[in-house]
Formats: sequence, C-alpha cells, structure tokens
Amino acid sequence: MTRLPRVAATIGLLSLATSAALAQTTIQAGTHRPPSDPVFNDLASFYASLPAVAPHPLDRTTALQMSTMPLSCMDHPQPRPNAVPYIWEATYTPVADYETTRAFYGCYDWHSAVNSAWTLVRILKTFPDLPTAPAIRQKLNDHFGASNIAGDLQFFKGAGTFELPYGYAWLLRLQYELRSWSDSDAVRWAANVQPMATYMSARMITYLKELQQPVRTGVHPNTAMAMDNALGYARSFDPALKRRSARPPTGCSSATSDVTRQQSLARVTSRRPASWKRRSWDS
Amino acid sequence: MKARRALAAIYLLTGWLARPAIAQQPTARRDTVPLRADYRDLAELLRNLPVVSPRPFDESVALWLGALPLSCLDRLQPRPGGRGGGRATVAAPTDSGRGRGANAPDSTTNAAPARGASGAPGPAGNNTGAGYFWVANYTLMNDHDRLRAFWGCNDWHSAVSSTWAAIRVLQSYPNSTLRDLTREKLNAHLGRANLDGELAFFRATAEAINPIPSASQTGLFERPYGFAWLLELASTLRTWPDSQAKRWSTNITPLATWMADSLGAYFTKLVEPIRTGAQGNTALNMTLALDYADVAHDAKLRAAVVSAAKKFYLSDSTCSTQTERVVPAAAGRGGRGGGGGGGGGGGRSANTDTSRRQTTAPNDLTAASRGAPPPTPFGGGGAVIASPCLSEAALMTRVLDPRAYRAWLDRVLPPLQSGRFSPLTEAIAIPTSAPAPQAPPNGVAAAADTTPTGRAAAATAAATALSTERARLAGLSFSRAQSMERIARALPTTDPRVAAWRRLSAIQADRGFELMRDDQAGLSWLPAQALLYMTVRK
Repeated sequence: MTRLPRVAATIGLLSLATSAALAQTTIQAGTHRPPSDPVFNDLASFYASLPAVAPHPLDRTTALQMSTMPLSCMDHPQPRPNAVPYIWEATYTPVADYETTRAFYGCYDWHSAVNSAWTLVRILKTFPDLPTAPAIRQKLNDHFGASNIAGDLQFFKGAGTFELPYGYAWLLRLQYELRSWSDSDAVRWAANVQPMATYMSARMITYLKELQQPVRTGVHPNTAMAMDNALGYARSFDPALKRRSARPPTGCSSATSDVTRQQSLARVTSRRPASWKRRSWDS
Repeated sequence: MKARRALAAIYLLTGWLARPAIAQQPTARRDTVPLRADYRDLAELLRNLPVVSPRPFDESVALWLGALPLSCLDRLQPRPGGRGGGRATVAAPTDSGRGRGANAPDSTTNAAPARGASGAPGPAGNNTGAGYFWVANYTLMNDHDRLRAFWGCNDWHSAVSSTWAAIRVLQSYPNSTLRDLTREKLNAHLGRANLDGELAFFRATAEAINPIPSASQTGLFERPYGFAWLLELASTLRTWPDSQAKRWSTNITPLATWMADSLGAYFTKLVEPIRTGAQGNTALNMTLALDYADVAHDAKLRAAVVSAAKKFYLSDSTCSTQTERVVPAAAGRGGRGGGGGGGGGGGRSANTDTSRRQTTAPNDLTAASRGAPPPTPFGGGGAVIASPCLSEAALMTRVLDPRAYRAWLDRVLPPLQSGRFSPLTEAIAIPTSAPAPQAPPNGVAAAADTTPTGRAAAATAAATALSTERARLAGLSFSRAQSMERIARALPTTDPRVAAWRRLSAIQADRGFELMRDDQAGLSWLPAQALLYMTVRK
C-alpha cells in the first residue's frame, strides 16, 4: 500500500520530465548540442560526477572571521564620486553631522552598509558571546540610533527610486532579524528602525503593484531576489506586503504573462549554445 | 485496476499541466481598447487609411528645422543638482526660466548627475542617492567653449543630434539665409581643440570606470545612444564634398573611431538586447551605427553589429505590435514617474549610462511590449520614443539579404492589414493632459497648495508636463515613420506593401509635425528626429 503513492509520484515526475523534455526538444529545434557536453543518464550518475564538497559550517571561527569585515567597514565612509566632469566640475564635502543623521554611510554603498549591519546582527544573535560581541554591540548602537534612522528616512523620502528594490528589501530582512530577537538592545534598535521599515514596506508594495514585468536578469534589481529578502518580514510583521508578494502585478493581464513566457522561451533558445557550456547564466 | 486508472489520470493531468504554453495566442490587454477586426487585404487597409502625402523637404521646412538647433547649440547644459531636466523644472517652478527648453523624454538624463548642490537631502525625484553622504558644489570648467564640442542643447546627445540637424539643413540648402550663421556655429563647435577635448574627456571617463580598455565599462556616459548619434554625424560629414566640412570631418574622425570601437565592444558584450522603446533600444542604436560603418568602411563595427543583431533577433517570434498602441497618459496606469523604478544600487559615478539613470515611465504600454523588463543596470528604462517592433524590423533590413529579410519580416511582423498591427496604422492621439510629473513617493498625496502662487505653480507644472508629453509623442511619431521608410526601402518596388508602408509613414510623420509645431519642449531634439526621417525617405 505504501508503495502505491510513491509509484504514482514517480510516474507523475516521469511524465513531467518527459513533457519538459519534449518542450525542450521543441524549443531546441534548429540548434544542435556541442559534442563535448557530457551526458548523464540519471541523477545518480550526475551526482557521482560532482566533486565531493561538504558545506562549510557556521562555527565560531567562521563567525569571528565574518564579523571582522563588517566591523571594519561600517564606519568607513562611502567613496567620493569619481566621475570625470563634462563641463560642470564638482567639489565634494560630507554631509554635516553624518555620524548622527545617517545610519548606513559606510561599506562602499547604502545596501552594502545595510547588509553588513544585518551580518553583524545575525552573528551576534547566533553567537552572543563571541570575543568581538562588545565591539559589534557598540557599532550597532552607533548606527541604529533614533536620530540616525530618522535622518535616513528623511533622505529617502526625497530620493525617488534610489535603492528600490534591492536596498529596501535588505532593510526589511534586517528589520525581520531585529524584531524576531528578544535581546534588550535589539528591542530598542528595532523600535528605532521600524519607521524606516514601515516606509520601505509601503514603497515595496507600490513598486510590486506597478511592476509590469519581473526583472529576470541576474543583476541587483532582480525581482525574485528582492521578494525573497522581504518575505520574512512580510510573513511575520506585514500582512499587506505578504498579500502583494503573492499576487501578480495589477498591470499584467494573463495575455501579457503569456507573451513574457513565450519570449523567455525564445530567449533561452537563442542563448543556449553559447551560455550553456560555461554555465554563465548570471554573468 | 482502479489504482492503475488513477495513475493514468495523474499521468495525463501532469502531462497536460506541463505542456508548453507556446500555442496560445496573446489577446488584447484588458485595459486597452479592443483591436479592430482584420481587414481582408492590403487594398481594404489602404481604402480605410486617411490619404496623407509626405511633407516635402522644402525650404520653409528647412528654415524651421534649421533655426532650432542654432537656438540651442550655445545654451549651456544645465548645472547638475536638481535644476536640469524637465522633471526638475516642473518640480521647482521658480526655476522654470532656467529650464526652458528642457524636455523630459529625450533629456531626463540631465537630472542624473544630480548631486544635491545646497545640502542634504537631495532634491525630490533624485534617484541616484546624491547627497546621502557626499554633497557636491558645481562650477563651470575653464574654456568649455574651446575644449568641448557638444555642451549646449540640454544634454550631450541632443547637442550632437542638433549639430547633425544644422549640418543636414546646410547641406540640403547651402544658399539659405541660415547659411552664414550655421557655418559660424559649426566652426566654433567642431574645431580641432574642441573635438580633441571631447576625446580626452571620453577616454578619461572610460578609464575611470575600468582602466582595461577591453573591459565592458558598464554604464559609460552616453553609450549607446549618444555614441550612435555621433557616428551618424561623422558619417554625414564624411560624405559631404564641402571644404569646411572636410576640415570638420578630419577633426571628428579620432573621436568617431574611438566611439565606433567602444560601441562595437558594447554590442558584442551585451547579454540581451534592450527591447523597450527608450533611447537605449539596441536595434535603434545598431541602425545608426550601421549608417556609419557603411560610409566609413568600418568592417569591424559592421561585423560586431551584424553578428549581435543575428544573435538577438534572427530567431524572434511574432512581435507584439498590438501592445504598441499609445494610451493617453492621463487615463490611468500611473503616469510617468510613478514609483515603478528599479534604479538599482550604487549610482556611484555621475557619468553613467543614459538609459540607466532615467526615470521609469510605467504608463507607456510600448515599454511593456515585447516583454520589456523595467529598468535594469543593463539599461532599458526611460520614456518611450521609438517603436520596439519597427526599430527591430528596420535594423534587419541592413543585416539580412533581401530574400532572407522578407521571410524574416513575414514571420516577425503581423500582416499590415491585421487587427494586431492596427496600433501602428493610426496616428498617435494628441494628448490633452499629462500625468502629474512628480508622483508622491509614498503614495500619500501632498496637501494641495491653494494660494495664488501655489495654483500658478501647479498650472505651470501641468502645462510643462503636457508640452513634454507632446514632444515625446512627436519624437515617437518621427521615429516610427523613419523605421517604416527603412522597411519600405528594403522591399522590391513591385511589392504591394511598399505603397502601404509609405502611406503609414506619411501618417505618422504628419502627426509628428503637428505635435511639434506649437511647442517649446523638445526643440533640442525633435528637429533631428524629423530630419532623420526625411533623410531616410529618399
């Protein structure tokens, strides 16, 4: 009796695989496989061909190493713009009082500063007694001050689509991490960051609603990546964002989606021979 | 027995679910007017089209189109930091005097190097993060009129295309009353030192992105659109047997050669084409590049374009002309500048790719056609000023031999008489209002300013937005007409479709001239669009 569902599942999977294969043959018509590609008959032989690599554990040593990098960059100002002037030459000065009116001014750019802060939070949460823990707390305290976050929020209200969606999504992941932590410092930080998260979540909802096509390239604004970063926060603290994430954009009729799908398939066909071999889908 | 039947059912069901979704015909979007029914044949289409004859390129048109570039070539591009570009002008009506002639579709790029000049936070609508940490203060460089060639007309590519427009008019009407003034301006801008300075600037800019010349140098200032226009300019100078033009051509050759190499490398490294109708549209820029490659005998650029064009477009399926209908911007769909941008991270350099720093225009159905993604660091954002389907079809006339082209065209464009093609058979509707240019970012409307000054400012903003929208649609009309002429030219004269294409292009261009006539916006870029259409027509 127990075998039956498994057989059914196997057959179901097989039929899926067959139709997928059929679909592939359809779209690959006209292109032929380069002779050097190895062919695997099943998953097991493919698996056996892979190098034996064990996942790296997140142990104390790794955590210690990983905490040093964000610690060293959080206070390092983002680089001065280095554009060559065309006719208007610029001289640059830092924003006055940036240490109290900006939260994420280090680590090369805004979103890297946010995810560096997230890295510190994540490490402190997992290993609260690391030797670097006091330094981490100090750094987070400095950057998550109420006035720092308020300054950031004020800036973003006038900053159009800057960092949307990638940086916004990282901030929501950071806030998810803070709010799901009972540490007394974290409770204070989460309260400070909350107005920013509320604002960014509302903007994300509008953004997703107005988006007519997902960004499918492997670059920063990739839609799936942003949604994944925002999902923890949405599920736990923001029902409206969660609802929006589960829905297709309003601007999309099903016809548009069909067109997109066709074009994606066509694109895959035309790109396959060159990019397959090197697995460089995300280049 | 029962179990086996269930299994068969599961098998069938899963197979059915996983079937390729290719066979389905896309239908009209819910939010568009239904497409008209197919006409029986070309004859029925022609009977139903208005009879519009192409406007001749006579002296009065030449004087009109030739005067406009002269009025902007010496007008300094706006200082960055929120004062440049149509959007910023609208947002700050007190600055409208300085923003005169600013026009969003072709020049929102100006807002880009926007670094808040007077302190944080940056101006509203600044999408680059300028002023977050570094606050910029701008001064004009020394000798800009001696060391730069294209410093007027709002932005670099408009300055280049305006220079080209001035040249085209002078070339066609060498004895017109504009003659001396045009030559004086061209001499002042196309001197040796000016163009050497341009080349030094672009070399330094490219090197600041990546010192390795063969690297992709993503986001290089004005590439591809400005580069493509510069090549068009260089090719026109090259073929003009005029003693001054020969000197200008010699002066511009080093810059053109450098840009041809750089643009060829850009096309070669492009992962996928930009299929939106914005300036970055790959087919559009490839067509201009081929105009140059043929005249300058640049085999390397030609090979780069041809092989990339084949890789991108040869296996295309039918293009979604049905989604290229222009829906009046005020009728919902968010309007230009709604929150749908994907500016991406960083934005470190002020001189970034034009397409990258444009604001989104989610209202434009043409942007959504062909599965065009929203703006990404690969480019593709920005207002729609060209037809994606027609641009592609115009490019392929230069890539395929005539027979292969006809087969390709029959597959990629729906029949001219079909309902699916009908959006491109109609002149674009003249807009009567435009969406508010600055949607509040968080969706919360700001309190309306009811003071007399506030009301006046709002009225000015609305008028500017409308004029900007009219300019965009004029540009789109000319660009459609230009592509249609290129397609007509590639078909054998005996082909019955040639007459239809010519009529369609006349309809589009006629609307372009009508939209362009009374407007202040677009004057820095529309004359070149009109002239390019009339140049291709011959």
